[in-house]
Amino acid sequence: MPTTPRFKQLFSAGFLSLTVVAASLTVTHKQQVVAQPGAEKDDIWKTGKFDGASFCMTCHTYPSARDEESGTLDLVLMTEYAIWKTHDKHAQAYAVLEGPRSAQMARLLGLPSEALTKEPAGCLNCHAMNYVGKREGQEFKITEGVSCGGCHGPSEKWGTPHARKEWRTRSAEQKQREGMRDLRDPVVRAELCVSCHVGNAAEGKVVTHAMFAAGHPPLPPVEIATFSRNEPQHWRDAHDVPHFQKNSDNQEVTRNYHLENLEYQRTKFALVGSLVALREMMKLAVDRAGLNRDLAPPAAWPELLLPQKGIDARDADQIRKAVPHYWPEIALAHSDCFACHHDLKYPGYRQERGFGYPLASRPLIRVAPGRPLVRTWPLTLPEAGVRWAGPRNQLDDLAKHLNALAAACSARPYGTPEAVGTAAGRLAQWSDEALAELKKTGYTSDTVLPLLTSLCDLFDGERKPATVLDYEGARQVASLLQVAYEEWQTQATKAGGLRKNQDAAVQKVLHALQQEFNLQPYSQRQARLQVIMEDVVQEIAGRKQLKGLQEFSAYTEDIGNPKRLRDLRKNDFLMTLSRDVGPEAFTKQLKKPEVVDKLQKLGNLELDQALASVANYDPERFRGHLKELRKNLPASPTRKP
Amino acid sequence: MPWFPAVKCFSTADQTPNHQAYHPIRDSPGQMQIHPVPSQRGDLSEGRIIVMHRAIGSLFLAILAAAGCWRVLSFTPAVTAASAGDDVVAVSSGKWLWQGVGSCAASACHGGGNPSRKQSEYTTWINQDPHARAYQVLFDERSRRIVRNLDGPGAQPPEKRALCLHCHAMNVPATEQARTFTIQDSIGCERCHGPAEKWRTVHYLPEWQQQSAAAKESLGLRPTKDLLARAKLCVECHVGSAEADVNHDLIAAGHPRLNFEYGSYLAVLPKHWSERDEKTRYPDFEARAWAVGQVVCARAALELLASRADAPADGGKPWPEFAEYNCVSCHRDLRAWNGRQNRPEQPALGILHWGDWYVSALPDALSLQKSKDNPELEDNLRKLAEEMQKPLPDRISIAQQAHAAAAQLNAWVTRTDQARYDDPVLLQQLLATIVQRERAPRTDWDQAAQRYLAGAALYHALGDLNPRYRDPRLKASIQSMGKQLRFPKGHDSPR
Repeated sequence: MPTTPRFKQLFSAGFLSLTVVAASLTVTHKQQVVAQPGAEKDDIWKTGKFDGASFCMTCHTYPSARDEESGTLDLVLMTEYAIWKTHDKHAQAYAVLEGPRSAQMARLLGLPSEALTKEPAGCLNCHAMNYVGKREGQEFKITEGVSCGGCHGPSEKWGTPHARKEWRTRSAEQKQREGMRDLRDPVVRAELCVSCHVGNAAEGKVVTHAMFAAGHPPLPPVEIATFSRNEPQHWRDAHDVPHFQKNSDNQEVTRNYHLENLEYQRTKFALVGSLVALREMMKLAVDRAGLNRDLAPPAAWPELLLPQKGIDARDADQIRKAVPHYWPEIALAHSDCFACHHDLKYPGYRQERGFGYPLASRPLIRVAPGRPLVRTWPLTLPEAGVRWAGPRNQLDDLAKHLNALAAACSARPYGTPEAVGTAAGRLAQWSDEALAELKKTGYTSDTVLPLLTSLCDLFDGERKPATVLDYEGARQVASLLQVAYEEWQTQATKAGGLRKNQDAAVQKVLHALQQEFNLQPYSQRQARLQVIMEDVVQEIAGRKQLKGLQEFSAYTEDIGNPKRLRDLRKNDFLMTLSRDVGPEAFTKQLKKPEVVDKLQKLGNLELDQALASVANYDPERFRGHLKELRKNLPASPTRKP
Repeated sequence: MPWFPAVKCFSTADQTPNHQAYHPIRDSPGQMQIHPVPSQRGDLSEGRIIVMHRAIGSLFLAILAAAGCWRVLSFTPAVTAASAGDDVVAVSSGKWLWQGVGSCAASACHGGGNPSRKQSEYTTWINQDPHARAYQVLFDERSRRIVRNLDGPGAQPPEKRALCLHCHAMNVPATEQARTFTIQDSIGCERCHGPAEKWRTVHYLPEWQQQSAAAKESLGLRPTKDLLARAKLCVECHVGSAEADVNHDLIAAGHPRLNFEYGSYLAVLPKHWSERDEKTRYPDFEARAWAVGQVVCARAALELLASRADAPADGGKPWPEFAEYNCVSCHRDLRAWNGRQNRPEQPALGILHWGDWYVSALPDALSLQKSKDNPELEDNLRKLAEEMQKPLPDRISIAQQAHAAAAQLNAWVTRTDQARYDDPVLLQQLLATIVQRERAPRTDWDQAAQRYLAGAALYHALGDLNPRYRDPRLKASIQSMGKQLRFPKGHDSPR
């Protein structure tokens, strides 16, 4: 692969951000709000080929002088590959399948350990881009995990043209027709993230209860603005992008890049994303209940295909008939993990909280105590969002549908597939309608402040009867508060309307929330970087004492800062990564048992920390934080968007 | 039996004859901490300090929460609906009026003030026995919260619910209540001794002593001196039954789990009878109580399972019934590596484990009998476990198998009752096996607790046979089994 600046220039223009989360292909759900291209037969989303990350590396590793001169850096950072490859766990998603935890999982699931990296097991659907032998483009390597194309789409048609300046003038729809995913659309991005991080039966992205029992880490609640930030972002927030700043009046740019509410993009992503998460969670329940007739077995029910079940994977009828019989096992996969998995304590907060679906603005929607429920965290932010932005009667409908779901779970443990699936289907539909409202909403300083105060009011326990959130719901609230306040604070500072002591008090609370809910980037990042640096990059490059990793890493945490970007032009670490360390060699080294082991140990530390934050959750303390926060927020007009 | 797990539930300072509401947490030191407790039974051996572990504290809470009721033998009080459309189901004698505890409490009768003497039975009960507060706990915040969790803010209060009253009071129909009777008596004298209408005025006459047990029974006095009859009486509430079912809904709502073990419950119950007389009646008391308890409890548990499975598929009882499963198989903080994945034998992944509190020590108890083989019982229990550990256990086959296994235990109940436990070699062998087994890697808490209780019972049984029996090393290792069962601070479950 030539790495000359000239070649590089060819590719240097519109490559937007690689994003959060895993490989997903065509998204062809019926309830799609934004129509993904996908109806036509030989549609690029179903047949287009994926190029490997090596293909993208050539340009997107470090910014060159030419990139700056040509104005490329106005839109793109050109460090995307480097950030992803070194900092982002998506790049290690495949490698973990060859690690000790996966070996253990395979053993317990009764599969040969090499099965996990083969197509039928389904692991590759999230841990890589499962297109071997079918849609491999240039330099495609399944071992690269969730790489560029996994989020940005098959680059067969846009790989070359997107580097031209002209590409910027194309509409998002045009780009999507070529196979480039419109990741600046919050719905599109959220759908992509949650397809793995919540699950998507149609795409065979399902973590079963057996997999969890065998050792798969629990899937944490998703709030995509914070997820992206922690990934870490290999793109700038929209308001930091010079091209957008310069064109803030340009309607075409605004439309093409979804720049309405430029200053509140992350808040919008968080809120809109939360409705997508609710919808997809419910859809997962519908699909797995067997109510979606378009869904072709076996991908949706990996647990039914385990060898000990003795079900023939090719026999769709047999699989469908097995669903009611194995429903409790199927249902556990989409139930609240920590509703059951907690040490018993007395007094404990759960008896105080009551049992059911919490809607903070209404009495608890009760379920018989101690029943597994379709995960409740996706409900928390949508309620807040809709209450803030939507028509009032939307919440009545939400309550009505939740009552049906609650009745299904009360009638018998786990409910029946029909009852749960039907109620979940209505909730998915409700989410879709609410999503349309929330997407249109205006996000401005005048409306985001009421959002912040109403979040506090809903959950600080002052309303009676007080809503007691579980850890995961509380984490969602904390996450949105953090995102929305950061953006509001920036604007308020600009406007000179922020009192320093109040801001300091709020920051203190937000910091405590961040710690208590494990909202910061994964804790072992520095140790992970050390491994990448010493055991991978230096090892391959045959050089010791590479400089510039610290500088590069600091840049990822301050990614909107143009000076830091400029300083990377001569970064020793990045140049070595680009010149001397091919992606293939990198991946090969990453997969060495000693490296995998080290990373696995760090992963375990991180997981233990996350689980400890669940175990140590105290709703009373959480409510205290919200009260404190509320006290220090400026009085807000109760203005709705 | 000084180092048996014991709880001091009520100090004499906490005497509340006027039924001041009892608060299980505030008033039970056993629940929240490890307490040195003076022995209830100072008649045996050296140590007077009982180290109490919280595990057993919760056992004892279960006593509070579901105090004695019965339904046995020919004069089984029938369970009847008090009136049509009324939710209240009462325990009824069908024949005799219930008098209430007031009729026993006179200081010249059973209300004497010296607990070490006869005629102090009522005094001991009202001052020390948690059964005396069973009704009052229904009024505390915990009980209110339970019904709120079950039925929401407008829930029917516990004292109006047949399910609660079944075990927390003597819930007899109005037509069988003497004028002196009051429901506030909690689990009073007659709940165990039988309705006193016919025997109240004669049971203190000299000629009463000459009467046969059967003759007394025909007037309504129950044979509580008989260890087997007593066990049957305890289990209906403390293990549960179709009408007194502490299921997972109730536990999740806030009711303590029931895990009854007859021998240890007897040990910690403040006695209103002479333990010396009891030892005279049963020279092999400790081993007998343990063995009888194991079999009677197992049978009751299987019948309870059958009744849970037997209910109509919809609108009846919840199914699968989570209370049938080992609590800790789900209720455990998750950790990155919890060691579970490394257990040698793996049942299907992520499947709930059928709880074996009532059957894990059963084979040991049966092994003390002369007739040892019971392949059908073992087979049935294995099949039950297998079916229960399917994602959706089949109600019909569970009901059948549970009924069958319970019926198979009938013969063992008789055998256990008729056996003598006077062979020290046999007891010693079993004890050694149990202690040895404890060293095996990883057992769950329920199994470990049953082993500890079995070990303690057998050690004391050896003392029954030979008052000079001492084995400090063995005793220490049994005690260390007990220590390992303690829960960490603030926890109600093992870690």
